[in-house]
Amino acid sequence: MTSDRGHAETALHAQVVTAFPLDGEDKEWLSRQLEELVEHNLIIDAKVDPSIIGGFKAKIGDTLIDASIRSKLEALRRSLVEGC
Amino acid sequence: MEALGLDLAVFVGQLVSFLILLGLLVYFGYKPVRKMLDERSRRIKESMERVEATKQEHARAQVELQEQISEARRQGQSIIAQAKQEAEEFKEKARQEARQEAQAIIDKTGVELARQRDKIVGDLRREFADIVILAAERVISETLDRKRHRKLIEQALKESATFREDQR
Repeated sequence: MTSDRGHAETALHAQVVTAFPLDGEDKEWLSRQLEELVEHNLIIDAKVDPSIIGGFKAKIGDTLIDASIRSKLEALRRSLVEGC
Repeated sequence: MEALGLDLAVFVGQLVSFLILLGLLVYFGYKPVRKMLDERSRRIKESMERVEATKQEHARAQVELQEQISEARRQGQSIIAQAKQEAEEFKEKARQEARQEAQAIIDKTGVELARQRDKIVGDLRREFADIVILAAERVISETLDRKRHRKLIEQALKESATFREDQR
């Protein structure tokens, strides 16, 4: 059986962290985008953490997607310290 | 005889007395004198022999002394030469040790300087990175609104999708 989006029906829990609170429209939009990405139905558990500055972090099953500004800045910091 | 004022009898008597006296002198005086002269001659000869022996002994002593002086001089020169050589070896060894110690100090100092330079460069890079990141955080935080935030998420999702496609 497949859902109306063509994905496996069994939904996965996804913990999503953003810097700004997500309203209903944003949450629905991000949920669709993530479901397209992982090709699976998702049950979104949204949290707010301003320390990530922007972007988002998502933990879906054992997979962690870190698309936050904080992680990009940390990568930039590492490259600056290592002189690369 | 009489013309000369001599009395023959007296003359003969005196001559006989002289001859008797001469005989007595020869008989009683010659031998002791001869003996004394022989003794004295022997003593002089012995003295001369002793002098000669002493001279020869002195000459030998002179030769030995000269040999000893020469030997002492040779030994002295040998000792001086050996002392000079040992002094040179000591100086050369001291020079080498000083050179090695100086090189070790230079090497150690170089390593220490390089370590300190690396530490300073590392500290500066970290401080520079902290400043850059802090400034970037402030700029992003101040300019990020809901619309831009959504764009950021879209961009991140696109990158994730591209990454996933690349992984396949």
